[in-house]
Amino acid sequence: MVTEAGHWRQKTGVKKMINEIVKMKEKGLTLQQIAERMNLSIGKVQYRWNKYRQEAGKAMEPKSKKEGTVYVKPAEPSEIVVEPPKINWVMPYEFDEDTLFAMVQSPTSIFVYWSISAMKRKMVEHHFRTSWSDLPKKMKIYDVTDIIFQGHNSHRSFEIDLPEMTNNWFLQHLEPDRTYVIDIGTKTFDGSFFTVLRSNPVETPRDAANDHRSQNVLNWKNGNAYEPEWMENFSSYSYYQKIR
Amino acid sequence: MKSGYFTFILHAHLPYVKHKEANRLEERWVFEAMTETYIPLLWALDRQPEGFTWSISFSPPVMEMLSDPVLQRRYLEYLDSTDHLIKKEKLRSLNQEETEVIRFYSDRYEKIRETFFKWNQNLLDGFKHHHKRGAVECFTTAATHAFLPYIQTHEALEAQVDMGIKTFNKYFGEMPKGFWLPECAYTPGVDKLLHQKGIKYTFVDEQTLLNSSPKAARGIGSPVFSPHGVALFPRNREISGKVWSSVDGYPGDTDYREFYRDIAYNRDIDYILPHIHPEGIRIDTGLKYHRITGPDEEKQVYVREWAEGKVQQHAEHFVQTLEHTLSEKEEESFPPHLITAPFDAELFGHWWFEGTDWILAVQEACKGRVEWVTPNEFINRHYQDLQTVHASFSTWGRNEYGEVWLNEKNAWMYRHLHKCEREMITAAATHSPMTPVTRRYIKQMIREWMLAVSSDWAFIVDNETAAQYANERFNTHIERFHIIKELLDQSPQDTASIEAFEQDFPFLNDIDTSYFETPHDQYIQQHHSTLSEPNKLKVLMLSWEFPPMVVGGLARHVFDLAKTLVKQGQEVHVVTCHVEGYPSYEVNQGIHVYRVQSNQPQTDQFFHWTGSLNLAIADQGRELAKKINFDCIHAHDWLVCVAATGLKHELNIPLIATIHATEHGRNNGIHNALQYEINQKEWELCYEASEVIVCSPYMKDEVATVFKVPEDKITILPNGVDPELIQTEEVTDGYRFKEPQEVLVFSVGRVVKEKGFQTIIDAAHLIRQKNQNIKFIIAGKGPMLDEYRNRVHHEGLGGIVTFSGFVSDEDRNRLLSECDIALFPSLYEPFGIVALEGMAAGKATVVSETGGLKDIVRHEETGLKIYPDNAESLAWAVLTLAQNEHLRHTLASNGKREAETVFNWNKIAQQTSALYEQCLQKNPV
Repeated sequence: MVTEAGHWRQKTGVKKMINEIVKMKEKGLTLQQIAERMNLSIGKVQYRWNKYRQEAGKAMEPKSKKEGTVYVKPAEPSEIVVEPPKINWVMPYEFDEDTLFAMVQSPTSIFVYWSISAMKRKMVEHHFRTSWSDLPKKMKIYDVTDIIFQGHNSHRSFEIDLPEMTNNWFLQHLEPDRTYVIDIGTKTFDGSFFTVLRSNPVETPRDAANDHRSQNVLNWKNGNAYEPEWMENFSSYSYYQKIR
Repeated sequence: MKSGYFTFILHAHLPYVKHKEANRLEERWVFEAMTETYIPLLWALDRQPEGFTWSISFSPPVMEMLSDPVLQRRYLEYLDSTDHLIKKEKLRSLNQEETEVIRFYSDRYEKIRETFFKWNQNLLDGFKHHHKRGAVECFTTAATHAFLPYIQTHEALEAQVDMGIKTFNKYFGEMPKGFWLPECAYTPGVDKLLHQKGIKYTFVDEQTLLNSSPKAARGIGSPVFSPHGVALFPRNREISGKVWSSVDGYPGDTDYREFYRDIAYNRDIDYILPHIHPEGIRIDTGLKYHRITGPDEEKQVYVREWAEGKVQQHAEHFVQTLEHTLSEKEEESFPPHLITAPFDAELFGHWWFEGTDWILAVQEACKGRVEWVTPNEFINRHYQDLQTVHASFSTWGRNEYGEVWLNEKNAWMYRHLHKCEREMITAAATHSPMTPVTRRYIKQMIREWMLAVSSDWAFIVDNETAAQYANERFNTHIERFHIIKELLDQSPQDTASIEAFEQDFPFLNDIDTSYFETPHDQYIQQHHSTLSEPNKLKVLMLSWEFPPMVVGGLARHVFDLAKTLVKQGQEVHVVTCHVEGYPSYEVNQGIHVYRVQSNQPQTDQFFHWTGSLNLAIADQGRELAKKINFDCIHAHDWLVCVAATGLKHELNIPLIATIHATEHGRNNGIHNALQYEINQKEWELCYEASEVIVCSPYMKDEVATVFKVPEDKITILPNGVDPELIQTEEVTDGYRFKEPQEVLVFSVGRVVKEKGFQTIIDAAHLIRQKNQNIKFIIAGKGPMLDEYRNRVHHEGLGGIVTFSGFVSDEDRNRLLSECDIALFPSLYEPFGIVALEGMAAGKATVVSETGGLKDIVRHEETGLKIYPDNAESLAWAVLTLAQNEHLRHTLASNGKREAETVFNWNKIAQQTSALYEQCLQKNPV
């Protein structure tokens, strides 16, 4: 799409909407007519109107001949249910779940985001008998190109220290055309890495042609491989995937 | 005519910006695209010369919006307003030049209106008409133009791809052959789905082919097949740049219309107010009177004839460029060289006002010089010449990869989008089978996710031009998604509460929920609903050892207990450690066994190995609890303490722990850091458990003393023995392990110090002096095996004491059958299940007066007891029994009866169930 600068609408204020409704109501229009004119649902108009009347009290109801209207303070949600029930959902910083997902950004960079469930944090605290805030937070990056990775058999790996209160990271200076797996974890007392969460494998794209996959492509094309011998993305998820 | 081809591709896409309330600014995007691009493209198609065809992709949001009666009505209002403005402008025109421009617009808008009505206000019908007659080939893209490589699950990918295809089918009445990958974003695996959906071709950036493996032999001169057989057409950047480049592309010519000089910005507000946003926000009216003129602010009036002249020049230049490129590649054949030039459709007309005229001019100029071909036609002619390569992740964005759609500014969005994907699958699984009501909720969840996942939002946030709107739209859809989910989880009886949501964005009316109803979840739903019986106790049993992984007696114990519980009608799910070559799930004698692999299964620190295993066990337990309402957790030993505790708090159900042995007892105290940590875990497990089970009064004392567990929290349940497993038979076919006159003493166990096998070696010296016919065989392996064998050798006991190492179950049973005495001289033994097996096998059994062993055997009634670590005592017992066959038989038959009654699994399992029930009553869930 092509977009240009400068065309951004300020959200119509609730106050403005109420003023409009009140004005038209005073002119004797029905709520249905107001809804049509304002291109709103009848429910929405009725909701605002009822709210306005509740707020304003009886004194406001009769024919005030004043131009414009008195500022109406936003009301608390009332019991008039013409709109969807008000559920307060606020976009969280992260969810209470175990997830560590890696996404490739470029031949040399990967983005990872994660969250560690309260349950898992407690278990790690329990295992180490150390509070979460006192445990060092680390990330370990494994090069697992063409390997079925089982936790110890990577070509290479390196670790980085993570700052506290971090739940995402851009990894830079990686190698193109490699497959990486990333662990989030901590450090045991004698310094070795302890995995808490493991990511999906991700493949950095090539930045130049090579023959790395030529044979694999041939095998697949000629029906000599049961499955492609390279990483294919988009694994299936099912809610009960660990139940058989 | 040059050898080779040119293929011209447009991609029409806008995010879904229809709002329920009128006058949303973003709706103008649609109106401007209709006025300046889609309608003029239809004009170009009307006049297109014979033998020319190109291709255009319509995104589902564009198709839905063009077909939307409300938007069509609003578009007419928009045209009315513009007409009215043009009339006003005619009256205020200042000079001849301006009058000319106004007349141009007046004529043009009349024609626009005419075209709009010609196709019954639905422009798609116009394109469909030209599609049917072969003038243009229409195709489509993902449902809401999601950036496909950044989708997490296969299910969501399929929803994006298939809903796109279905929407196309809805409007065009046929399946598309091509598919536009949003942002030309390709990644391995996406081609598999496209192929499955019948897609023959798509478009990628030229870099995708230049970096392929193997290298694309023709570079960007030919499409290639992806591994799954979708043709990838590479965008020719140099050729595209002629049109596209803002620096040296054609659209920057001084005679072309200036995009940024709309009259909206230099008329009095009262005059212009009816034609801009009612709140007085000045927005483009579409009337732009100036030409680009030059880099300065001062702009001259647009002269249509000059612009038309430039269109001819630029068309000729472009065709010469095409000819030049094709001449250079003239020797290429099989297939001939192809130049692929894909663009955003809105570039033509909207951004480059004269662009749609230019397309026609290029076609005219190509006559007899350059052949146009559609991707579909090219494949039909040359598919047998196309190479197959592996293409990696790439896009047509800045720096060719993902950085436009994934960077510090917009990366936060993906956590939420991916959460939605999983939640849709969750909703489909947990609300299966759906009712018409719940299906509508789930459809609306899918719709909100669809609207949030458009690549446009991440693009705009990166671009920063309209970040506020993009953020607002993204947040709105994510928020509504979760609100609907919460409403759904309250088991709604009607759809009243989401109707407003449905009306707000009436997009993809017949959205399909089946993408998210995974076959596995459907299977589990059906399978488990028949399996679940309410009167069964459902036990989540945790043990690091389980057959075939047998380290000590624990595996057998857990297996026998679980098996008997199942036989008595309970449902037992055991979570244990992965064993190479064994299934991650099996039903063994009715027990559900899950073997889990930890993340670091080969770590050399045993303590952290268990930590890692515990995280995996807890994950599995938590997953199982999604479907199975466990009544309690039964944990065996400290090795599963962390998982047991975590699950107890997570699932809020009672925990029962069996303590089979303690670190304190095993080591006769706590002497080092590891032992200390283990001791802690044992202590914690006892603390967290509602009930602690031990196998003997001895262990009860130990647990009560070492861990300060109140005595009334401890229950003694002995270990059982399964006589069926001890397949001892009368030896009728001659002995294999002894001579008939010999007395065979058999012992079995892990060869570690606390089993006391060294006492046998010491005692053998004493026994040899008194009786030459006694022979010992000790089966089992362990760290002390070599040392003991050396001792036997050096001390000349070769014919008397044999450490046989590992023996098969069959040999073990044979040894039990052939032996005369079963001997268990342990120094420490919390229970001593092997002694019970000796008794059950009907053999005179000798045990140490220690730990659990001393409670199993009643001295001189059901066996003999000896002092631990005392060779004289051992020698006495063996000699006594060797010399007194009658005593041997009496003790053996008493022992067998004892084993079959007191140490009977049926009885023990019943007591265990009773303990579970007792916990449940104490801790009602």
